[in-house]
Amino acid sequence: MFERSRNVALGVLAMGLLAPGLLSSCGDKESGKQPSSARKVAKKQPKKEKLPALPELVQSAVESGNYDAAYQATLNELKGISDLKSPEYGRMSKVLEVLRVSSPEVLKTFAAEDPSHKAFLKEFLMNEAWQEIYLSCGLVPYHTHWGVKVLHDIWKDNDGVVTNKPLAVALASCWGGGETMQDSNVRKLDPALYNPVWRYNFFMKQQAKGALQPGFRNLKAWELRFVVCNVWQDWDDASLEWCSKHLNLPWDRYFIAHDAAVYTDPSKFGDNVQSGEFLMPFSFESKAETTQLNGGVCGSMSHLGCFAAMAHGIPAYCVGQPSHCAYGVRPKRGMWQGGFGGPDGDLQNSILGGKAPTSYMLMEDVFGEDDAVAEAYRKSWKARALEAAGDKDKAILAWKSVLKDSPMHPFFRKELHRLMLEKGLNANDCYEYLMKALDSYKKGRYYGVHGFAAADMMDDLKPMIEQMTDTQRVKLYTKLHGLIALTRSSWAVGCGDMLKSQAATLKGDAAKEDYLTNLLKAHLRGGGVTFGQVLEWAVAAYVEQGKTEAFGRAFARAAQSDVKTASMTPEQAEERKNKMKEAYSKALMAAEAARSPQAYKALCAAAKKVCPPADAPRISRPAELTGKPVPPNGLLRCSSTSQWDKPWTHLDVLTEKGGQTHTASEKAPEFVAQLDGNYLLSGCVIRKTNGAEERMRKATVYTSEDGATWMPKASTEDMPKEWTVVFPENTRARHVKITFDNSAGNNFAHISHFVVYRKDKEK
Amino acid sequence: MKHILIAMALACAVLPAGAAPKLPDIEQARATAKEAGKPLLAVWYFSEQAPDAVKKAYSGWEGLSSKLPGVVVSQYDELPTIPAEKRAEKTGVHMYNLPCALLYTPQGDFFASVDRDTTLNAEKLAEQVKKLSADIPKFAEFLKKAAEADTGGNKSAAELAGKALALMPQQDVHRQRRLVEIINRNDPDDTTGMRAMYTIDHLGMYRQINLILNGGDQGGLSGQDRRFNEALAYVDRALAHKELEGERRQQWMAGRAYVMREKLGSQPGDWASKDYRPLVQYYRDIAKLDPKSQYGIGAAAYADYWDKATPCIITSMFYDSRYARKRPTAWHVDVTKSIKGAGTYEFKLVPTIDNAMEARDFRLFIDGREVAKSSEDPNANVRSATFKVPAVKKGAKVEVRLINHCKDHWLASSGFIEMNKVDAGSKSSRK
Repeated sequence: MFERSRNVALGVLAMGLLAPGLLSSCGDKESGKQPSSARKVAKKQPKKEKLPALPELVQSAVESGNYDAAYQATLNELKGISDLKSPEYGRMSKVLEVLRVSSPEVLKTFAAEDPSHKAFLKEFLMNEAWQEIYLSCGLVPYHTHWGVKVLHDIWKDNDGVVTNKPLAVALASCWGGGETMQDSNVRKLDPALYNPVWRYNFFMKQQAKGALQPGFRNLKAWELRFVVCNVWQDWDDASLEWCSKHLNLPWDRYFIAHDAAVYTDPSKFGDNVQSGEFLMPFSFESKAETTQLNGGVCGSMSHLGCFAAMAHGIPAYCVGQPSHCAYGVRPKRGMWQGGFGGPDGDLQNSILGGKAPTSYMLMEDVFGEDDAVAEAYRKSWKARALEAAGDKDKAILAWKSVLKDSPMHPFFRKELHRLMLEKGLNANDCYEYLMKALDSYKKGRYYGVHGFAAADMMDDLKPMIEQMTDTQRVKLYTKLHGLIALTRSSWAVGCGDMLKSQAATLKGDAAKEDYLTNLLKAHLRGGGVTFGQVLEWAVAAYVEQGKTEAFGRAFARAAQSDVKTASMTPEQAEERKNKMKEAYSKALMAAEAARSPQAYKALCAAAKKVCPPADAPRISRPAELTGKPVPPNGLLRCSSTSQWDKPWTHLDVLTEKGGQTHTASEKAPEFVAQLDGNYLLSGCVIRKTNGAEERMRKATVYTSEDGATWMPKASTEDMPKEWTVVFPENTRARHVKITFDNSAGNNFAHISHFVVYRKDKEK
Repeated sequence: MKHILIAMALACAVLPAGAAPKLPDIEQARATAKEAGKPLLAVWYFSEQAPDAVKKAYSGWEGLSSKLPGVVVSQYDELPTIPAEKRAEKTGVHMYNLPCALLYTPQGDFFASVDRDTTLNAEKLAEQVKKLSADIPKFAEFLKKAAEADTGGNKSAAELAGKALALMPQQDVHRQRRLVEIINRNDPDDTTGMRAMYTIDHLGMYRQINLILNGGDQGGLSGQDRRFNEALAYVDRALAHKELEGERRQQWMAGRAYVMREKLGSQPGDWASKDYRPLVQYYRDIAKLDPKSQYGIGAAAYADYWDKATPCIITSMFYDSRYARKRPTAWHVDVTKSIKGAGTYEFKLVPTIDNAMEARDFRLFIDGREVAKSSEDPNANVRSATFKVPAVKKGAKVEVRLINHCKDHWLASSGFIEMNKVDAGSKSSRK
């Protein structure tokens, strides 16, 4: 359809060659003459819109610059309209909302600064369509003049005709911020270099040239926010221009655009990136030009990729990660691609929350339902009007209706919750409400489940949750975690604080244990990133706090629940397996560090179902030693771990069957066999795993009864593959340790067996 | 109306929607070029959702063969089915501004790239290709000889490779990995100067300079103990080659300037006590060699940065890292546009980031002549000053000059500049 319309235009031009009269009536794309602002599209300006007047009292208040009076007059008008569905009610509710969100006082000061400000505000308050775009852009400038100022400046620069209102609104939102994010970094930068008017004109020009991605014309203000600015760490206007000329790729390939620059440290003049002089020699060029021609490190390379996408009308953002900067680009809705290691991390531009991926997932699923969210917003302004008119009961009903159209919109939920609390919501009603509300977070159009958004939603009602019974709380949290476990997440989104906060609300031990069991069950099923976080938290909160039995019981019950992977693709199943392996490794190491055989055993039994076994040969008792191996009811503690370790096989290392360990590279790696009792020992066998056996040369074996005082029993300068240590007569111990001496230089240690033999009869 | 409909129908018939140009694929054409002994030209573009400006070029590309009879013309259409990580497999080079054109020898060795603007204009593209391909036979010959001589440690292989690279456009040299590797393999100590000219980029140069300065891998030297003379000798060896020219010479000069700067910085005493003039002059010499190159632009800016005598001229009412200096520096702020008649004015620095910045000694100048001083102690670190501004004749330049010192390592201080008339009711507009 796009191509056909292009041919229609070409056909018109073709006709124009034959009939100049016809061509002039259709209008030229570009004239030979440049207008006074070289950046403006030189074409015949569309006529100014004819806007219906506001009701008399409202109109006169607006014209006189008295916005307090305008607010009051608008409210009175609304009170006088009984049909809430009438167009007039809708219109007035928008006017009221613009006045409310900007604040009459702020508008008064703004209008007084310049006659054109007042003229613009008059037109804006008469323009219902424009208000609607402004008020539904996501982050609406709150109690600041910045939003209307940007709109005014664009309006004035374009002779009072703003053709692309969503574009103008996106710029106003970036510069103005919103109620939940009032500050905006971009307005602290040099307005000569970071200018919303310039950017508006730039994108209009680019669109006229056909240089923007074909979907640009359909982008709404909330998505254009990610085209026009990278709010918290923006680049200059000239960077957009540079990128439009020097970086042109297929529309869905801007996630590699950062590679157009070379990773460079130090600079061309020898300054390293940690010095302020790194960029100094090129500080008068655009940042994009400097980066592409002179190189940069991850921050500027990610910005280059991000701005290359933005310059072509593709939403993008930069994102902070630990010791790295990356970015994300979105060639179409629901399809964020990561560039340079993105798209997850701390967002430098966002509407709902600051962490990717949960922030953009929620944003897309809330705002991506165009008709539904538009209707929800229309209803929301009416809800506010009802509250302003003093009818909170009707306002609550109105908000409930809003949420039928857009159930996951956090701002709408917040307003409903605020009113419900003001009207005396009780714990039982709150419980019923939340149990139902959580169902709304399962059906996102692009991303499915939004458990973290649901958790944030519940935060408003924390005082009520604290008044619920433990049983109610456990049910609520169980349902919530059922959602979180199925929510796509990443390392960037943590849930530790949430778990801590939820656990703190539970009064009884039984409830705490039920909570833990259900939590582990839910996340075991999900098997995502959160599973590892939950395990870590559980080990820290239970095992390390002396509640190992409770942890063991809870985990055993949770692990019995079946996880059906039949519906997964092989890739999904493999990914789940790897994530589980990683999570179990961490939890097992934590259990070992906490010296909890019970927690370790519970985790191990579950881990072995999904984690690969060790490849170790079976050994037998050497002739020098008497007795039997001490049963593996204790623990094997390792000084560190690595990616080659298999913590779920550590207990097997204490048996003749064998397992697999692998420390990190250390000066003195060690292994401690913690037995389940104080035994009379004959000795032990320690065997290296296959490969790299030249390591682990110098070693000493110790024993201890209390785990604190260690008695050396044997040492070697050149440990063989399998080392049998015969203990002196009457050696009694509960702990046996082997320490490797890598004083010449750090190295790894990896053993498959550490079998301790107990004498048959105690004297 | 009927005429418009007829025209539309005609347009649809004559101009098919976005059909890719009919040119052989680069893979097929490669074999043809080799057989025919002709250079290969490949136009790299993407047909899926191509912008209008690109589609307009299609017919021009189709006509290239007739304009370039001595060249085999082909295309590489980067379709969505080609995975992103494999996009450069067919071309052997990575390009990020499409469409572009790539020129190869008959044997398939990369020779040159042509930029987007030229590629979009078939006439200009043909002209450029004709010019470039004149050097291809010699390039191919040198390349062949260099490859034959490539035994490792054979200096003539490096020289031959250098001769081949000298024929390539400067911006494409780094893409010819084969020749770069021949030079590195055969002349690691750079006795021929080819490494300095073609293969040691600034990253490699500074790596070596810093290694020398620090006394080697395990050296650990610092401050004045570093080996400045050895480092200077290293760069001077490269600079001694007369064939080293253009941006490459500027690169090595920048390396020299770095050593000079490090040496000066390591000497005891503060900035004020050191003589940076030779260093500043050296940066100006770098700039003079080619003022338009990135090294030229950067060196000129750096000369101003290090030159104690050069003030920062601020014409916008905003200050940031462009004007920050790690030493007390004169700022000349042009406030002419803010002057609305004689009166008392307040000059203010309104920080948005105020990292360890000092500002003092504010004075008012008209047409370069001091007319007023701030009443504040000139040594006090303040952010504003009040002046009685006299009547200023039309066209006169009004400046506030001050001494600014950015003590922040990151040079991150920034903020707005205001010059407001102070009378009843007026106040700062900045929020």
